[in-house]
Amino acid sequence: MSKEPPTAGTPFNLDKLKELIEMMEKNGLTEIDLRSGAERWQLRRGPQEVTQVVSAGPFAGMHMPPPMPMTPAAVQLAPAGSSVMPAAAPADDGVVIKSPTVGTFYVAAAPTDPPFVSVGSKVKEDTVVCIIEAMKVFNQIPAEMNGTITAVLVKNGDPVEFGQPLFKINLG
Amino acid sequence: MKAEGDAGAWHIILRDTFVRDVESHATLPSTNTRAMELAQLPDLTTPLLVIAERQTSGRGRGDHSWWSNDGALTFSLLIEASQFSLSPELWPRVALATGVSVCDTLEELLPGVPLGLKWPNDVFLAGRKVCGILTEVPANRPPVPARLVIGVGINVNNSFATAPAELQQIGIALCDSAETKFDLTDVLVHVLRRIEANVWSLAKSDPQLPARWRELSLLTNRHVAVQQGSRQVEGPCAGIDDEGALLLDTPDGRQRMFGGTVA
Repeated sequence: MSKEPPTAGTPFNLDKLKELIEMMEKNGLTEIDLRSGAERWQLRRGPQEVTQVVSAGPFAGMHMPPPMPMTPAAVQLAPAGSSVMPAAAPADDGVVIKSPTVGTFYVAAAPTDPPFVSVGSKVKEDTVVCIIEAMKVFNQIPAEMNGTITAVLVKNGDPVEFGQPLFKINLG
Repeated sequence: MKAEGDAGAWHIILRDTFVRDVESHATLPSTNTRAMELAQLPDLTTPLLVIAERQTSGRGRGDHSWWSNDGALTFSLLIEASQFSLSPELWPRVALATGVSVCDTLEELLPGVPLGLKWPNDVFLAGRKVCGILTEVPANRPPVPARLVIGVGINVNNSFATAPAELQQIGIALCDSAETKFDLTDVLVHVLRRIEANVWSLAKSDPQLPARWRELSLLTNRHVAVQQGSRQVEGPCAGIDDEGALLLDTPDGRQRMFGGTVA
């Protein structure tokens, strides 16, 4: 998730970056934006809207995991000398569809069927995105949000845990 | 109510079981596929039974498609979770509870036959598979209530004497064991009553249900390998716990399996 900071040709202070991330974690900050002359450090961390994930539907009331631990999710670095900064990435960058149950992840209803969704698929709240099987009970999992799938985070047939991120999604 | 097939059967089912609506078909590709379509409708009378005299493409996963022929009992039962106070954490145990229900039924119909449950959902009679179960949960969202579709296929009168040779080694029908034919509606009524009782037992956390799946477990004390994607977990099986997980004693300690395929 984290972008590697550029190293070649950039006098970049990794210790300072580490210090900033630790400061953000300690204080529960999700975003900082520092400017000094032509240099700008903009750090964002954590899936910032995970509380929207899987709030209703067939698994409402199931043991829901605690929110995702806040981890550094994106570090954006402005090129030195740039005077016009790109707009910050949308805040839904880190939104994921999480598994509401423990079981086995399947991308399609049957091995010969096409996957329910793939990268680029537009989904609505009621779109089935995958099946999770637990002890031969096959649960269709709805997206529970509107947006576009940007990444499939689990391999077909792999086991998943409660709350494990399954898909990355851009809301909208 | 829709009755294309045995028009006489459905009124017996409505009279003698907890089923409140029946959709009966002479042939259907898959009763589960049809029940999953129905499960998404906002207004539905449940428990609803979808039954087919013949399934043309009964579903399993991968190459587990079930031997289907005239004389097999194939149905899907659609229930509403709230009607049984069946909270979502209990849903993964529904296939296991259904397997117990089929065992209970067969024990009643064929006293003394060796029966067992291969975790989580295959029923074996005299060492061969007699029943397949496929349980599905549609992605319903309010206002459509949470529902479960319990698909069951039992080899009743579809003798395996006429099945392909390789299937004769692994499958069996009730009529092969009893050397007599059964009334399909009668078997169905028995199974539905057992399912109703066991779903209630599950909802009420009745300890007799897990005791029963432990008693029926065929894998206990055997060396078992469970494949989960690219990962394989193996070791002696210590049984099935109260939550339905298969217990494997691996070199890393006891593992509780909630998914995967028994190799």
